Amino acid sequence: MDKSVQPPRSLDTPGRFRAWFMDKLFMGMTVSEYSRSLVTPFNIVAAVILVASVPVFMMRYMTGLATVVHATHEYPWGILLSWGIFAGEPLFAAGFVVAAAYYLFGMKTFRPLVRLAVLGGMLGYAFAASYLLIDLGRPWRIYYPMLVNLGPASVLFVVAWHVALYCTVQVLEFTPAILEWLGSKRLHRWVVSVTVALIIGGVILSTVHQSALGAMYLITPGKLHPLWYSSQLPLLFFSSAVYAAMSFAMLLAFVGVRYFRDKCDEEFLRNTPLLTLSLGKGAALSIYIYFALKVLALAQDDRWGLLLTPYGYWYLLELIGFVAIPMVLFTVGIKRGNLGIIRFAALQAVLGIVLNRFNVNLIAYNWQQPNHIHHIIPPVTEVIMVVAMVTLHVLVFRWILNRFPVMRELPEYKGTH
Amino acid sequence: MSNRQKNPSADGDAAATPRGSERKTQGLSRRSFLSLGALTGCAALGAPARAGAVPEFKGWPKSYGMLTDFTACVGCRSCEEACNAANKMPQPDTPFSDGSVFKDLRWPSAKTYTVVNRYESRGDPPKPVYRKIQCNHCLEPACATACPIHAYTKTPEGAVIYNEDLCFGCRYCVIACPFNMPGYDYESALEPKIVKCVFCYDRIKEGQIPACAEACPGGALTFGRRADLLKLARRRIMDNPDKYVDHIYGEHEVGGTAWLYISAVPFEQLGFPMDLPKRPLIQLTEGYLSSVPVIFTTFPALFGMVYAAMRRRSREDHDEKSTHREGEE
Amino acid sequence: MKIVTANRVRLWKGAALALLGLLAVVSGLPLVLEGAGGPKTITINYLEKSYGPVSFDHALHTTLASGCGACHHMHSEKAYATCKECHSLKPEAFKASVSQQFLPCSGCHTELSPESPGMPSLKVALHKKCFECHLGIGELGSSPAGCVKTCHARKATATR
Repeated sequence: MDKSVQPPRSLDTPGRFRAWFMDKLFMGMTVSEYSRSLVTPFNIVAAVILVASVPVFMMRYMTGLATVVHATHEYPWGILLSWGIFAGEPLFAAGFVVAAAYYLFGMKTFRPLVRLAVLGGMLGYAFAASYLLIDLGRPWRIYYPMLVNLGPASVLFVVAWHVALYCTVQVLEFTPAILEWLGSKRLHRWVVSVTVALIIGGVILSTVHQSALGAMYLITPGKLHPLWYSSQLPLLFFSSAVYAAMSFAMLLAFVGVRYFRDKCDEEFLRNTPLLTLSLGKGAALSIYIYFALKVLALAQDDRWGLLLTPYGYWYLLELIGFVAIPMVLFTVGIKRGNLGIIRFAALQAVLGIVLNRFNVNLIAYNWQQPNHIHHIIPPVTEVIMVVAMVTLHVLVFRWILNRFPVMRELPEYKGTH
Repeated sequence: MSNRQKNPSADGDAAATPRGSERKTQGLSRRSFLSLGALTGCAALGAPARAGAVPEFKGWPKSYGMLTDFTACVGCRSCEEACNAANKMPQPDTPFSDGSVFKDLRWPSAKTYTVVNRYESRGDPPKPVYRKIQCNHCLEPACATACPIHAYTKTPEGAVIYNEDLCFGCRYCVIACPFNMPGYDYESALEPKIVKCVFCYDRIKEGQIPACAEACPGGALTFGRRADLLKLARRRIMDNPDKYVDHIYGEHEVGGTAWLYISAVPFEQLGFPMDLPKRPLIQLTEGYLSSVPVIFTTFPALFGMVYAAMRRRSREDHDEKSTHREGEE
Repeated sequence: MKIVTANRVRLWKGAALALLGLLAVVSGLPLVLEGAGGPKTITINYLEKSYGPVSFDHALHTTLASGCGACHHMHSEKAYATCKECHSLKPEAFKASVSQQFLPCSGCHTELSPESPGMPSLKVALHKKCFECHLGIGELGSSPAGCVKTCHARKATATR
């Protein structure tokens, strides 16, 4: 029934083109069939959220940021950036981690997952840029650090450049899938041949911008709580990004086999348990390293006494509950070969990353200000915007997964990458 | 044994021509591996040495400063009024002669470069202490370091000025400022910008006095060359040891600020951040920034080696399997 | 009778002289007093564009102050000027530059200059001196409106 797997028809006549286009767009269904298939509970909730967010976005662009966020001198950033950029970027590094595993380290089990992970990464970074377009004061100037004036003493300059280049590299990495979908063999061959260089480029750019996100807070020694502030922040952010990416890749594979089973081919389904185990081992190793680095950071600056303060308890919750426990669960899961435990540990690790970034950005930042907790609670409008962006992200991801050959290989392209 | 590409550096390591569209490099010899590794190591080790060799910026010795003596401030708000007029800011809701604003602790905002706050001192009888708050015009400002578009400039006269034609509103400068000083105009949809004291840059360039210092009747604000003001402050403290706390705030904090403060009341009671490092904040990020080019130079070599090693091993495995199969036949 | 007449004339002359002398002394007393204590009142109105004039009772303050040097502090520890800033150090010029009277405040305190931050402007010098005793009276120091309520009215044409 899935007509999208058929070879592309000739595009000679307008009528044939239209038929081809509608076939691609509606996955072989007629318009009425497709519209009926859209009415699901998830879709209805998503539609409500998106509709509710339209006036909020209009307010943001027409009447200024003050109407949608509670930003002040002490708290210029809120959950828009904490969630969209700081929490999102380590997760969407899943693309480069899986691609590096396959192309650079030659781990063949990862072949089926490469496209899904790279898609997840590319889309994630595109959305991260969209969060910026919402939060920046003058988003139409987003290209300024690249083209208009350089501020190379700034860590944010490093982030901006590297994310921009990384997005370019990711798009280039994903073009084989698009070209397959569109049916262009020659371009496809060219893109595949430069893949390794692109992957190495992606690894470099990823390393720098993940660590740079942490380095951004090196300049705030008096404002970030000493338990989270460390001269090792870049290294901590980078090493946590490694296991966050691996965990997110595991979760992506799980979503693929669980919710998109009919879009997966044999190879994908067969390899998923193996690569989940493999990713689990990688994640376990890197989470051990991260835990050790965190403890070292505490020891280096002699912060032990701070652990017995209210913020200390919160820090311990993050470190024990969301780093140490997943660490143990990964080990147990791998030893027993239990995918369920590994995936649960991956979920917990991902939540831990989100918690850590929120801590650095919001909770531990300017913690000494009076009424601190009251100030960092976001207004409803900001929450609506974030939820709407997440919904849109999920919808776009689903749209692509339903049509593109992401979790399967088209027969005429088999063996070419 | 037909057309096989021989890598000139490979010592007799003939590798099979790859199949299909992937024509990759041949395996590495041990010699080239070691030489590449040595280069990488040297580059990586060289980075910290280079960071230490960066010349120290001595600043502009004749730059201006402002000495603020809190013992002389009487809370008349003439400085706020003069600043408002000189910079053509909108009229505030409560007039400057109104003392009811003192019941809240205010902060400079998008509509006002400076505010005066009242604090109750803990002396007996409790006398009110007034503090004027504005951008401190640091000698090596964190905001200028943080801005990815270089919209801030530390001028030779001492003022830290901001160019709104470049700014795109990321507010990283607000994160970086150790005093939480730059205000952002969130209310504007099309022209939001940073708002902060500009040290009356246009006036001090001509040799005039900033508006607040000119207006202050009590002598709380003294404008002059920073070096002279430090001497003046030290003399005042020395001549009146019971009157002042023995500390000039801004002398060393975050590498020194153009605005200096002396006070009878300990600075932490007035809300000054007391745990700031004594060196410019840029020194905290220099180490990381200098490691970025190192990553760019070493990673291609490193991962290129890894890739080549993996390919070679997989090809050797494949050759082994095929020879094994041939052997069996 | 001639001798008696001559004596009476001498007596009248003497009385007239004495009276004149007394008158001279009496009329000259204020002059003498003025020379010793300075002007009775001084009207400070150099900022007349923005503020009303302040009438300063100099005579009263001379009785209250611990000495002339309490306000005319050219040589006290408050004077951060070195000798050569006011006097020439060449011996012949030095004598000429030492005045016999106290300088008014405006004699040293003029406009602010960034090059000599230790020398307050006239406005600052006056306020600092007056505040030494008057700060805290009425709303002075506790409310911005205290300045105009207690000391000098503010004109509608005030620029600052």
